Amino acid sequence: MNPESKWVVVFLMITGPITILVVPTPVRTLFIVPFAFGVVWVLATVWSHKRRIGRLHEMKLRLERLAHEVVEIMSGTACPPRPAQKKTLGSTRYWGLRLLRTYRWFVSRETRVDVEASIADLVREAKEMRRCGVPPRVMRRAILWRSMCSICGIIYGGIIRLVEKAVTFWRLIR
Amino acid sequence: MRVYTKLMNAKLPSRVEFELLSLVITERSGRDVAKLHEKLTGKRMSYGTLYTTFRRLREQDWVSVRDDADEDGRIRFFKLTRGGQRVLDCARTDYEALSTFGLGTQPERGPA
Repeated sequence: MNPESKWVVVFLMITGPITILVVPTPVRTLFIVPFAFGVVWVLATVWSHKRRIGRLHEMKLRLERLAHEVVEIMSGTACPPRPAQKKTLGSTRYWGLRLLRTYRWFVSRETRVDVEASIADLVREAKEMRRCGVPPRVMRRAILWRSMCSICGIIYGGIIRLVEKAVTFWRLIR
Repeated sequence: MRVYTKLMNAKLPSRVEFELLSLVITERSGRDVAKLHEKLTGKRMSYGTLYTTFRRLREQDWVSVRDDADEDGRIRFFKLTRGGQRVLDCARTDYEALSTFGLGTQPERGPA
């Protein structure tokens, strides 16, 4: 997508809701279609950009590996150890971490900090499990289960806080 | 029920709070606390529950929090404050007193 056409989509996304509110029903249909197209367009663009970034990252890793092999050949046996490929634990393999990362955008700022700390702890746990030689399938399930438990714990904590406030208020009134 | 009990004894921490307060007498990270809790009680506490409880303790000034970070992300360290220490001592005394409450009033059983 061209950068100029992005502004067209932004324009449509802004004017779309206004049009829905202002224009009468028969004419409105004419505006809803381009608006929907705009939304789909934006989503598709984001997705394609993400894929492109992923491919570029992969290419970068390959180039690094190639450069390292060249160094290895040039220096003979006395070559530095091969740098370990950086593995991101928050990738698609760990749906639990992904779930938590998504969940943190729906909570308050204070809770978000707690969620971030939970994510970091789960990443450390996953690394520890990997060091211990736990099968990846088991690891994935364990992380998913723990993430779910964490989310439930946070929701439960929120409910408790709400109930506490409600009870305090009720006692104050009484 | 738990909430009601907690509100009735506003000065006393709940069981989970008491356990967590006891574990952060020296400064510990959330993960260390979770590990130690699992080791001592045999029950696993989720990080969500742990951090939410610590947040509640922090709001009551029973625990101080320090944030740090490493390559994996955020680390939160917790430490008991003076107020927290006082509450912990108070709770220990109260629970001890409660455990022996009414023991002397039991009628002695004679021979059948």
